[in-house]
Amino acid sequence: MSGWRCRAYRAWLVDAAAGHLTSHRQHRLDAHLAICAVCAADLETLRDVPGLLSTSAVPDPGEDVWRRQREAISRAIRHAPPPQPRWIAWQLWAEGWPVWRMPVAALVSIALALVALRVVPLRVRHVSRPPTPQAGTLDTEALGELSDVVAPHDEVLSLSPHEDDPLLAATALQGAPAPTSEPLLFEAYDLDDDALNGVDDLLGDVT
Amino acid sequence: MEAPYAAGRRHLHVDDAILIRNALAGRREDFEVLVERYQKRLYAFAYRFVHDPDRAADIVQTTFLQAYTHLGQFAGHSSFKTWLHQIALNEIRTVHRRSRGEQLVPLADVDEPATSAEDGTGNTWKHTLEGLIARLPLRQRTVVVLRVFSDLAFKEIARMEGMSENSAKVNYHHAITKLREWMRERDT
Repeated sequence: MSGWRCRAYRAWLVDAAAGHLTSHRQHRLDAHLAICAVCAADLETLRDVPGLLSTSAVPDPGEDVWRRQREAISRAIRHAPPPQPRWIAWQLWAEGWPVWRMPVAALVSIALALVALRVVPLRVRHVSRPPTPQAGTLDTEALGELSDVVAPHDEVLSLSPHEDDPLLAATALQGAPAPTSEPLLFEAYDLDDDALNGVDDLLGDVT
Repeated sequence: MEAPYAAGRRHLHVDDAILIRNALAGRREDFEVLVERYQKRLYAFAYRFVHDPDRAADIVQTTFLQAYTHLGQFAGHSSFKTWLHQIALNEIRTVHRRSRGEQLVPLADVDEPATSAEDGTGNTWKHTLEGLIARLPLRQRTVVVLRVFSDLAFKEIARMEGMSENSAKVNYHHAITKLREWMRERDT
């Protein structure tokens, strides 16, 4: 047999002769070789002839010729302008870093940059910001009631660092630890249960 | 004063990439190490196309000068050896174009009777093989020479020749089977 099927196997025969054929292809090639004497003979040829060729050698001009040629090249390059690096890739390659990794590294860098710009800030927005509602969310009526409740304790609240922030002030009234308050101020609070319940109700409305 | 290339002998095992980097940094003597490393291989490569010692030597010299001048363009997509062979092959093609009509390959050598290795040294048989290789079409000869004698991978050969890797293998297949037929013809 020798026809279009054999032509399809020629590259595989070259790989098979060098022992580089994958096992799957080797099985398929073996099946073809079992029925094709021409390809089987070609495989033997591809195994034998290159070894025979490699025994041939061109005439050696002699060490004196090699030396003179090296000296001539040396003289020529000493008079030639020095080569200029045109691209940075050779430097990376010279360091043992294959060039194909450069675009991969660039893509990874871009991906990391995108993650840093998009994902991380979103998480920070959700996690690190305290859930402080804006003062504007308190309606006037609620603020008025809050003022009434807090009114008996004006003297104490005037010492509070949160007097400009109604919510933090209310938090302080509840006895919860305020972020920047001094412990002494909490000890100075002397609130009755009714007042605290009133604040609880108000905060429930607010939140 | 140290003789040229004496320093190179200390660098015989230094990687090509380091020598190239040094040459680009201005150390010409490191490029001379590369010359010493690839000189004979390139000469044999060129000789198999022009079959003339002087022409082969000229091609080698031109190749190294071109390589040095354009060393900055070497981007490392292939090995330095492949790059040098590519430059040499371009130079060989130029020589072929200039010598069009002129018989570069002494075909008379091919027609010498094969006496195999019976002369005790095998030189006649080797000479015959070289003659048979010279009879191959240029593209097939290029693939065989680059694969068998320069030990380049088919992938690199394909890139040099501007063909697919599969085409390079098929060309190689054609060349080897053709050489076998010619050998059989000479034996009979």
